[in-house]
Amino acid sequence: MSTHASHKKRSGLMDWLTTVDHKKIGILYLIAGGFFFIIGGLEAMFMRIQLFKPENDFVAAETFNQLLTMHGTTMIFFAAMPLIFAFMNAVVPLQIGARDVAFPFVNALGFWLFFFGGVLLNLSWLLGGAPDAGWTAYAPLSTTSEGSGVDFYVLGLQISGAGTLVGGINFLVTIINMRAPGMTFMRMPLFTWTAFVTSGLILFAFPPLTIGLFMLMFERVFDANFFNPDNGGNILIWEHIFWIFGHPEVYILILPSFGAISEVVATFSRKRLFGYSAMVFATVLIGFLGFMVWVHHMFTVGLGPVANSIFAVATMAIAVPTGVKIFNWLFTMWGGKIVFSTAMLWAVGFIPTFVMGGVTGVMLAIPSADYQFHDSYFVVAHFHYVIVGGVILGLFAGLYYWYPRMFNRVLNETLGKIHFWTFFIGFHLTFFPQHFLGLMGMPRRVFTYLSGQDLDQLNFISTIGAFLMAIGTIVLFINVIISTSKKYAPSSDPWHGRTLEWAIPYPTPEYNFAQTPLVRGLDAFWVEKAAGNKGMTPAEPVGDIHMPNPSILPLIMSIGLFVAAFGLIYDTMTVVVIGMAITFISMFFRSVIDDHGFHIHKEEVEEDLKGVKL
Amino acid sequence: MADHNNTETNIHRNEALQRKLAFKEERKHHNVSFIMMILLTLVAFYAIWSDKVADSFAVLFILVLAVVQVFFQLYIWMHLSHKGHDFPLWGMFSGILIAAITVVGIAGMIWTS
Repeated sequence: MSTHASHKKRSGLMDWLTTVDHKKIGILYLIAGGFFFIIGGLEAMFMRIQLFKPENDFVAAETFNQLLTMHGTTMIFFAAMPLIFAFMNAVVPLQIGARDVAFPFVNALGFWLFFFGGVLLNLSWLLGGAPDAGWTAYAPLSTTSEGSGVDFYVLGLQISGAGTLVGGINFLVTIINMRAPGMTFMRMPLFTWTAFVTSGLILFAFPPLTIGLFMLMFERVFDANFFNPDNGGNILIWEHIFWIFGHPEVYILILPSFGAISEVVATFSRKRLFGYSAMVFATVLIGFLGFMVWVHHMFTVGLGPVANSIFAVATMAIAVPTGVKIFNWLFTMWGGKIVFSTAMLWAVGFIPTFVMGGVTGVMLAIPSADYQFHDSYFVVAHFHYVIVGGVILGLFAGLYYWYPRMFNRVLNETLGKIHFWTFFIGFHLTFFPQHFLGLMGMPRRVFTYLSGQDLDQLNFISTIGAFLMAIGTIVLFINVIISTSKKYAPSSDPWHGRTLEWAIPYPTPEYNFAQTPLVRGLDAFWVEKAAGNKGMTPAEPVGDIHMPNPSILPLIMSIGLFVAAFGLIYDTMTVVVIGMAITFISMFFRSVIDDHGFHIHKEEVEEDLKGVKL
Repeated sequence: MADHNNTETNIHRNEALQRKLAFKEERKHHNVSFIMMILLTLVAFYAIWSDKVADSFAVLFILVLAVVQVFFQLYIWMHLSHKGHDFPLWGMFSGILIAAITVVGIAGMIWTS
């Protein structure tokens, strides 16, 4: 029984800064990820404007290098990653019938570490120039880069990487330990499955990045020689370590999108997902193979035919489980009663687009052909087809699908469809011509090109497409703003959902489930609806609900590391000591102060249950 | 009634006996592994100290001994063989597998060429 009185409600800004509620942290991730998505998008627009005609002088060559580096880094680490964590936070605990993640405090810490890492990196624009060695930061370009741009890159990624790592561990523990009674592994919704595999990949892929960044930091700040051949180092060490992280990273990004697509396709086809167990197996297999293929990024390095062949075959093998997924989505739709809502449009647009990215992926996996494609716009087209056409389309599908659950509002469907068509057409207009630009010999990461090489027209088309994508994104933001009006209040189950997150009344209570639900099959909510039940069967009586206390410490810990990073960048040891002291003192407080949380009393829960409208 | 009570005590006695036997078995494992671990350490030390093992083989040799020690540590002392350790085992072995691939891959491609 609780000895604590019900907690005092915090309001406004303080509530958001101290929250440990997975639903609010999900919203924070979404807002921060959306913000960095805009920044990364602006950087892309500047590059496209620079390239819209030959020998343009919109930006200088040095600025272009910074733009391409920051665009890649921002989009991967500070837009796609947090958007994935946004949906994992908002949805996974609800889908498995849990009241929160396993470690709510650590969850908040993960968010604030990511956020301050992103802020640190982007401050480099204002503090003497952004990093300019590419998002891959290959040595010796990164180790010899002038100014402190690359230092911002190293420390920004280091801080946010720590946040991602604790977030991944948190979700592993949550999914293993906090499933509701009856929610066996093979009854978990596919989005939860992909979140689980993604968290496993984070656990194993981020430590190599941490190590690589430490080596790069020592090289730059303390003059180490890991990558310096003059003193016995080897520049290839960085490339290996980076891609041992980097390849699993792209599967970390794509798998939750696959999960979201699986939910959307099943829901709007009014059918259960075709080949559920094959989908689970394919997800795990993709995760496993993701660690065996990193050398396909390094075919032209000269590792020899044996290494290249092994990794080429392993890479092509990944096409098999991915193909299984594509066919399962098609078979789910086959014979279904398809509703083309906005979310479904994104999902349907995703399938052919991702297949095109996959096909160019297999082309790039052939080492002999890769010698032609390498470092050309063909590669740029390929990875934008899989990351925008795969990850981002999947995330947009998830956004329109889960927005009612996250914000208790629906997005306008007409504006949503305008968003879809402008963005989708704009996307193909931008990146389809880039395949041919690459085959015609246009190198990537070069700030301009000469006229008379047949590159003018396709580049011009590509830039027009980029503007269409920007218009689509603006429509999305208008839609989000409009959704805040009262008119857009949804029912608790606007899409006739199949999984547990739609069994919760609207608006979502702080404790998620008044009574932990009993899960009686795959698509738990659908099973109950098919049996004629109004809601889930409870697995426990109404009782006091234990909740974690909010805390400001995650924010302060992250600020400490943020301050220490500035000390390292500007070589001022006192600032490093002050920053680390802030972090360690907050860790000390977290360790010695007993925080038992509080209880929401039975009477309050019963009061809430009376007012429930389903 | 008396008979029923009797059976119940018998069952209890039986269970207690089994637990005792299991405990004894485990103690035996502990003793054996303790002695083995000391021996393995001595062998490793002797292999290097005596110069009887060729240098090129010595590194591999003591690494193998170390791996054996790790298994003793995990299974005998940290009770990984007991029930309920499925997920830690999965996590550890996939981690070891990935780390091994990484190390072998990089070593093979950088330090042999």
